Amino acid sequence: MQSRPIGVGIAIAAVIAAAVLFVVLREDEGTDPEPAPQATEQTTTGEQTTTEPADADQPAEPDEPRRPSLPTIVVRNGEPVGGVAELEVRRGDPVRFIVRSDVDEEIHVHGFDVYADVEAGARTRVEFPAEFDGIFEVEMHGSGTEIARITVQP
Amino acid sequence: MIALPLAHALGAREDLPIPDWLFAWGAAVVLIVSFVAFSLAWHRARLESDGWRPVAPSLSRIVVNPVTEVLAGLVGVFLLGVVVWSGLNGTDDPTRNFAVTFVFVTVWLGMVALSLVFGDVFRAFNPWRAIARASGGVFRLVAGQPAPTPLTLPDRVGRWPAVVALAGFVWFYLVYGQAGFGAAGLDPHAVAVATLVYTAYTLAGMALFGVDRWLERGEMLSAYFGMFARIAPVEVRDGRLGLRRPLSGLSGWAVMPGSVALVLLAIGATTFDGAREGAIQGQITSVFDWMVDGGVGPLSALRLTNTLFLVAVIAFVAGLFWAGLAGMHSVEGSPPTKRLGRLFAHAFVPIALGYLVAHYFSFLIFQGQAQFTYLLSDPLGDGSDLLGTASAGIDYTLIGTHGIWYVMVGSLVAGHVVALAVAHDRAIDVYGDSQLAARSQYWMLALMVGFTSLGLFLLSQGN
Repeated sequence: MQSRPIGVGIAIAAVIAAAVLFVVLREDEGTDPEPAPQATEQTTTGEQTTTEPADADQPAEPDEPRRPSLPTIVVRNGEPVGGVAELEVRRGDPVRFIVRSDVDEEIHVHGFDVYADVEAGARTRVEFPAEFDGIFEVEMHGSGTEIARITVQP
Repeated sequence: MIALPLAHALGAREDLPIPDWLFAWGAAVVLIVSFVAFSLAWHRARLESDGWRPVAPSLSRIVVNPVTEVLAGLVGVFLLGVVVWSGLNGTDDPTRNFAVTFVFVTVWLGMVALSLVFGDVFRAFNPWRAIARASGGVFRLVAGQPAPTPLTLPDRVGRWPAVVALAGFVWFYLVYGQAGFGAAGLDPHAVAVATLVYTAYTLAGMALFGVDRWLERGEMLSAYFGMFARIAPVEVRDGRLGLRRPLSGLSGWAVMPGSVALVLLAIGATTFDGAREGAIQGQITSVFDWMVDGGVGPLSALRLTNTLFLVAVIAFVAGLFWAGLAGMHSVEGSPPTKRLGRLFAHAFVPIALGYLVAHYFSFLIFQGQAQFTYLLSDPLGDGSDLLGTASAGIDYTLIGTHGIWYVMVGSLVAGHVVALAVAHDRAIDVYGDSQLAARSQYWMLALMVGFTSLGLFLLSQGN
């Protein structure tokens, strides 16, 4: 009973040991992932921080020769063709994709709360800056079907 | 092929899996800390007596008095009423209805956080306790004697009624609450009905077996929050506020039968929720596809598969626990394995807490904002704006992924350290200050490294 501080001291020592290593770990984070970032396939214009308006739901022109490989999500019979599309960007980069559906729908990007009206048959381009990181669903608002998952890397 | 829905009913954002480098660091820290703990091990039990001491009577009276007691009870009953009212009358959208976020985020997660710091605050706000005490008071006024308790809950039943109810809650949340194939997930109407059913059940339990006895053994939220409140340095005893050594409250917690099941259920449920969108997603999908191919309807197959895996994961967690204790039993002079379970279960409460924080921290931080912004102003989701905050949203920039990752890994490591300390303390008490205690603790160390590594692994697989 009389030497209780020893027990407490040990617990504190253990926690401090953890904290010290944690700081080491935190420094490691600063150096490690930056020089060797994971490949961001979707956006080759990685460094360009977008200043475009946040809510973009312009129905797209027939085709976009400027950016040849925008990911296109095709929705047929209420389901995304080829399964739920996986999109990946880094925080700060723009998220860009095109939706083509065989019915009129409204799509909703969770978290960012971007909504876009999709007309049957038309190509609808969605673009917004990825201001925060995490994994976010894109669903069709009417049916609730998930059509894409956007991974925003920190 | 039908795609298996993975979306949570609540919460628009999911966490990224922790990267490999952080997994490696976390695992390394766990091992180093474990050995540090061993080399510094103390030789006399420190936590077996709690050293509870009342604070100054004036301070105690400010916090614990008849007025605050009645007020807290009224707040609890009022909020229970709001849950039922908004669930029954509000929007179907789980994210826009007060009931769902209040039950599964504000109370279910927020109350754990409060309990850790302030002790068993849920007891004060428990609406069913307030109702029972008020009706008990009325009964005494009218009949001139305390309300009788027609039945006796046998001692050996322990906390099992609470465990069974909590298993039902967990099933409702994790299995029934999964949206897809026409199921709305955590449908506000169903939440309200379940709340009413549980209210009736709890009031009946208290009427039959006595208010305090049912609160201790049958009321799932009291049992669940009470478990975490044992960690807190604050306890109200005989109407007086007092301070005790942090963690010391855990020492007597697991004496009651069913306690082992309660803590294993808590760990198992969190593990399942973390694993199903990462580590065991493939297996779940296979079983689901197999069922659908066999002619089971998609919704039934979804629920059946999730139920099976929920049970399997809890069984796995329990198996790990009992295997470790069986190993400990092999140390000479050891009590029987079953008794070891009761002797050491309390050391797993910090592990359960670490798991909980790791998996739900960001959810609480983000979805909790919904509670205190638009859900407070627009509880029904019908466009009203009671407090002027209805148009406020969730600020997802509040904490970034790196910060969340550190909290995740940090909580698992901290839970691990605390659990080791608590278990070591108990081992000294059980085995005496000798090499036997140390040998028994190699088993405990292995068991806890297993749990913590499992937790890290789940985080690295997405959750």
